Amino acid sequence: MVEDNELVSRFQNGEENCFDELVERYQNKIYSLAYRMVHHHQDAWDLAQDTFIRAYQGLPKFKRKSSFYTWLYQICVNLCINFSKKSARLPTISQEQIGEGGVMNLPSRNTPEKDLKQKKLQAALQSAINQLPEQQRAVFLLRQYQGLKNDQIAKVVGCSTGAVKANYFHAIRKLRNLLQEWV
Amino acid sequence: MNCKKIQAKLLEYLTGELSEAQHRSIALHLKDCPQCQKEFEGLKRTVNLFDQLPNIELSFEQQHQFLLEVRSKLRRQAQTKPYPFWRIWLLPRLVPALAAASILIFLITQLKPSDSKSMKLASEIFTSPNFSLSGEFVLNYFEGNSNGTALNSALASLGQNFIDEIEDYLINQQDIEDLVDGLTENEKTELVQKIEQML
Repeated sequence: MVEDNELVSRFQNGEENCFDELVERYQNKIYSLAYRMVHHHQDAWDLAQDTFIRAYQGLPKFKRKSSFYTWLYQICVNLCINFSKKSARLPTISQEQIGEGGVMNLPSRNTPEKDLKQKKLQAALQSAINQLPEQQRAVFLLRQYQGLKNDQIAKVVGCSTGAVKANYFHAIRKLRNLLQEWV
Repeated sequence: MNCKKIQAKLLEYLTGELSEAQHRSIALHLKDCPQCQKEFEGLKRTVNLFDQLPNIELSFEQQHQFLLEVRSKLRRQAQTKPYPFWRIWLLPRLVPALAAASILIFLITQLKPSDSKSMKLASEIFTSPNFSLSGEFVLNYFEGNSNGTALNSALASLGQNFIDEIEDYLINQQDIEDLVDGLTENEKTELVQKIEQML
């Protein structure tokens, strides 16, 4: 597979289609991060697209001090944080919303009771995530669902690795308190 | 290590981020301390609970549609292009103070990365009662309002070229980092002081 850096260089040298390849490579990850941040399909869809549009605008000046995907996550997190701030408060999550939009649902082999309990748990988990302060939420999600290391997260959210560890620690403590019923 | 210190390290223990010696020492402690063991199990269950959220993936059709829409938006933007890109991003009332504060914090941490006073200042930006002013400032500054706040003058005092470059590069923190690298020590100190005054 062609490296991101090579695609970026070729795009900077005028090969437009290399941008398409970068979009195809990262659209799922960026959409899923946006979705977990705002928990609304259409908003996440728009925010993910805006991320790539901004990347397109910024790529001619991109100097590879961080990796392309770290930079992409950085744009996405900033957009989502701005969006959350603007929307004042994230909506409460209903059980029906779990599984909406782009979420992939695997066929269930559970009993209806188990399914219902699972849905309740998922709604509780998402509501708990929504109650985290923006930066803690971003750090938690980048670590839990995007598999980023502390130093990568530090670059994305623009803080020290120590602050990332502290944010993650406080996030887990808060989540644990919010989910006492389930832990 | 006492229980308090052990419990502060349990998350790192769980995620395997400790040195071998620390890991061993905590493992030994956990064997003999039911209280810390209970705390550890609680943390573990909390982290593991989040595996229960479903995977989020776009369907094949959505992936195809996604790229088409991105391309279409880029084409529309290229045709209309009413403002430079940074100006669209900074349209008044669309940018929350947090974005501006992030830039201030980024500037501060880049200016004096190892200075504890600067780190404290950076953390104060988020909690400052004048927090929203930092947003106003950036908006005013980039909208060319001559009544911009203190950091506006601070940036202005650094020279027109710097301001022009900030305007061009605002979206990319990497580029701001380059700009900061290009400042003299005196300019860095002056900028930190002006941000401090603003708060």
